[in-house]
Amino acid sequence: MLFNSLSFFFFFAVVLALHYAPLPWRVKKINLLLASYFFYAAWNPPFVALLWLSTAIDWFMAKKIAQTEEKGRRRLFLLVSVVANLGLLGYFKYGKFLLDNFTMLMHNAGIDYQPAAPDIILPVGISFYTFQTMAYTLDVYLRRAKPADSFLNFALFVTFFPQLVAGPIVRPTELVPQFDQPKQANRQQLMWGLGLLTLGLFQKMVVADTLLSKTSEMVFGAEQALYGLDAWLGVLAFTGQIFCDFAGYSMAAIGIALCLGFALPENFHCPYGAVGFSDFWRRWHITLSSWLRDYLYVPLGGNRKGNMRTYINLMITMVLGGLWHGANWTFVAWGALHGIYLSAERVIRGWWGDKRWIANPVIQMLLGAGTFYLVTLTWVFFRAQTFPQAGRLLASMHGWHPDGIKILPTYQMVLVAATMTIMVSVHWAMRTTTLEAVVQRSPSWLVAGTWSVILFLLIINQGGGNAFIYFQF
Amino acid sequence: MHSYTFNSKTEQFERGIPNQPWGRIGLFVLVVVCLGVAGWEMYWRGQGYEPSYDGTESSWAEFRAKAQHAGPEYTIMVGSSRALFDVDMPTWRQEMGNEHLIQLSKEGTGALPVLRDIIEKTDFSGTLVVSVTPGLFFAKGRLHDEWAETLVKYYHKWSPAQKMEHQANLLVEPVFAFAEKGELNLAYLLPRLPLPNRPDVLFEADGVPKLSNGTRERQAKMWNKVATDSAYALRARRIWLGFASRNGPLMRADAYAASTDETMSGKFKPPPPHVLMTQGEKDSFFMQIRTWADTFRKRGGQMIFIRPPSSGMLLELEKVAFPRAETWDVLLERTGVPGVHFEDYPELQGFELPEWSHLRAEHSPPFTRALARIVKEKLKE
Repeated sequence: MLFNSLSFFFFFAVVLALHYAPLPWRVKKINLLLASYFFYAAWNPPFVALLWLSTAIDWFMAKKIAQTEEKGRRRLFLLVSVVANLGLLGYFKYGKFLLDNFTMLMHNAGIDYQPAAPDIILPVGISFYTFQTMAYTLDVYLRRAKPADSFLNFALFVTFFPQLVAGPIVRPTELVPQFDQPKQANRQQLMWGLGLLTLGLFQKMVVADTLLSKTSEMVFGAEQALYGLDAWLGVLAFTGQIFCDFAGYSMAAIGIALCLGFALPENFHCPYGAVGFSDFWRRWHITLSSWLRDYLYVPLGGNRKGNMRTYINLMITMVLGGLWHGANWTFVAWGALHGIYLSAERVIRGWWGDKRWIANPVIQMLLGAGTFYLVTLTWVFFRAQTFPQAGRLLASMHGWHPDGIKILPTYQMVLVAATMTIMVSVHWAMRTTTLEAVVQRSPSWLVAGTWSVILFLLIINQGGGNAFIYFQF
Repeated sequence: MHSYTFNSKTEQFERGIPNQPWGRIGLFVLVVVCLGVAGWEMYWRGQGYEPSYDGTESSWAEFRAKAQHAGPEYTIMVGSSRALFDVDMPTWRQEMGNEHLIQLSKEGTGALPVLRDIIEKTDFSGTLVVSVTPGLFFAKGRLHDEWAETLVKYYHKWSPAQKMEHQANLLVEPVFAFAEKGELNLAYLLPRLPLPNRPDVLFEADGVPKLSNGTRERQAKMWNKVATDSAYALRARRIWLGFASRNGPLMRADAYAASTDETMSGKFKPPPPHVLMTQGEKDSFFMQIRTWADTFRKRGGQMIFIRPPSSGMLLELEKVAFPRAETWDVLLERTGVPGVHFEDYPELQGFELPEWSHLRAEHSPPFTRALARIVKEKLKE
C-alpha cells in the first residue's frame, strides 16, 4: 500500500479511529501490529513471513546474547542474527546480481555456464527492516542496551507501518520505549502530523512525479548523445526528483507516526545546502548514514587507526552503502565516488580546515556550489542503467557532444530550472534552521494559506499511484 | 554496563511542534480546499468534461477475473480500442438476447496475448470475439505484444493493494469529472502551457488526448469534443498515422506543429520493412493462432474475428502496409475461424469516424446492431 494512494487514506482513517477508541493500550498496540502486517501484506501476502522470521530470530538471539557472558556464545548468537538477516537480503536482493557476475566470470574464463534464470521478486522494504532489526541485536551484543521486555513492543518496532518499507531506519532506543506507555497525539501534534503528511506527499506527488520525473525519464532514457543543456536539465531533474521522492516519503512517515502520537527521527535536512561531503551525509538519508557510521565505519576502526586506514574505512563504508541501494555496479560506482569525495575532503580539511578565509560567506557559498555540482554528477551513476549511458551523459554535460540532439520541450526546461532554483535556494536558506522553527516564526495566515495551496495542488494532481523510488532499495 | 535500555526508564525521543493556532488553521484549510475543489470541478464540467471511469489496468483485471469462471453462456471480447468504442454493449446484449458479455479489449494492444491467456489459463468454452486492428494485430512481434503481455501479467500478479486501490477509485471516478487521471491531472495540463519550443528540438509525438468517456463495464463512448472539434480530431489523426507508420518516435517540433491532413500525407510513409513480418514469420504466426483456435474449439468454444471500420488516410495506410489479401484473408483461411470484415457488408459502412479510427458515440449502437446480427448468423453456420 502506498502513502500516495486513495486506499491508504481509508486504511489510515480506520487505524486512527481504532487508536483513538477507548481501548486498553495493549489492545491498541495489537491493533497497530495487525494494521502493520496488513499494510505490508497488501503488496504480497507471503512476504509477511519474512518479517516474522526476522522478528523471531532477532528477538531470540538478542535474549540469548544478553543471558550469557561467554564471548564465543555471544558471537555465535550474533552471527546467527547477522547471517539470517543478511542472508535474506543477499538472496532476495543480490541473488541475481551475484549469479550474473559469476556467469560473466565463467564466460571470461572460457567456460560456457548457462544457469537457469532466477525469478526472484524483491520483497518491498527488505533493506530497511533488516537493518533496523540488526541494529537491535548489535546494540545488545555491543552492550549498548538491554533487550526489550515485551515481545509485542519489539514486533511493533520491526513492523511499525509508517516507516516499515522506506524508513527512516529507526534505532530500537528511539522507538521501542515509546511503545511502553499509552500514546496519543494532542491536537497540536495531530495537526502538525497532518501538515507533515501533506507536505511529504506534495514533495512526492507534485514536485517529484509531476514537475521533474518526465524530464529525467526522457534524458536517462535517450539512446543518443544529448545536447549539453538537455543533459544538464535531465540530471538536475533527477537530482530534485530523488530528493523529493525520498524526503517526501520520510516526511509523510514522520507525519503519520506523529498523528498516532509517536516520534520518528529526521531523515533529511536540506542536503543541497551542504558545504562539503561530510556535511552532505549529515543531511542526506541521515538514519542510514548514521547506521553505517555506528555499525560499520566505527567497528572497522573509523578514524582511530591512522590516515590510510581512515580512507580505506571510508571507501568500504561508502561502497557498501552504494551496494545497499541496489544490485548494480553503477550503485557501487556511486558509493565509491562519495568515498573518494569524503577522503579528498578530509585531506583538504587537513590543509585548510582551520584557515579563517574558509568561513567567509562567499567562500562558503562557492564551496556549497561545488558540493552540489559534485553530488549532482554522482546521481548520473545512481540513475543510469549502464556505464556507457552514464559516460555519454557526463560527456554531454561537459560539452563533448555539441551536436547532440535536443529533446526537451520548453515547458519542461522552464519547470526544471524553476523548481531546482527554488529547491536549492530553500535548502541554502534553511541549512541552519528547521522546518519547525520556520513555521513557528511564520504568521498563521501564511501557514494556513501555504497549506491550503499545497493540499489543493495535491488533490488536483491526483497522481498515478507511482511507487516511491526507494521502495526498490 | 548498559548505557541505555529499550524500555521506558530512559528519556524518550520527542519531536518539536511549532506553536500555532492549529485548530483555526485546520478549519481555514478545510474550507478553502473544499471551495477550491468545488470550483475546479465546476470549471471542468463547464469545459464539457463529465465523470467517467478510467480504463486502468485494475479495471481490466477486474473483468479478466470475471472471465476466469465465465460459463459457456458468456461472450468475451478481446482486441484494441476499436472494439471498446464501436461495440455498444447494451445493444449487443439486446441483439444477441444474452446478457453475458465481458469486454477485455484494451486500447493500443494487439489481442493475441490476451487471447492466449483466455485459452490457456481458463476453461472458458463460450464465444470469443476477436477484434482485429491491422496495425496492432499483424505487425511484427504481436504474438508477444509487450503492452498486452504486461496487462496479462498484471492480472496474474494483481496484488491486494491494487485491488483495494481499484475499489477506492471506483468510489471517486463516478463523482468527480476532474478525477480523470489521463487528462486532467497536472502532469497532463502542464504541457498545454503556451511556450514555443526550440525549432530543432526532437520530441515524442503528442500523447493520445482524451477521446472517450468510459463506462463501468469498460465500454468507451467517444467524447463529443472529438466529433465536433476538427482541430482536436486532427491531433488524434496524426497520432494514429505516426503509430501506424512506425516512422520513429521522435519528430522535429516545427514539422509536427505545422502538420495538417494535407501535409501529413507527405510526411507519413508506410511502415519500414523491419516492422513487417517475413513470410516465415507469417507462417508461424498464423499456425500459432490456428493452434489456439483448435484448442478452443475442441473444448466446445466458438471463435469469430471482426474487423471494425477505419477511414481516411489511416485506412489507406492500413491497406498499403497490411494488404487484406495477405493478412485478413489468410487469417480466416489458415485458422478456419469465421470473420466479419466491415468492407464486406454495406450495413457496416457509412458510419462517421471523426478521427479515422473510432465511431462517434451516436453511431456505435446502429453499428453494433448490424454487427451483432451478422455475427449471430456467422456463428450459426
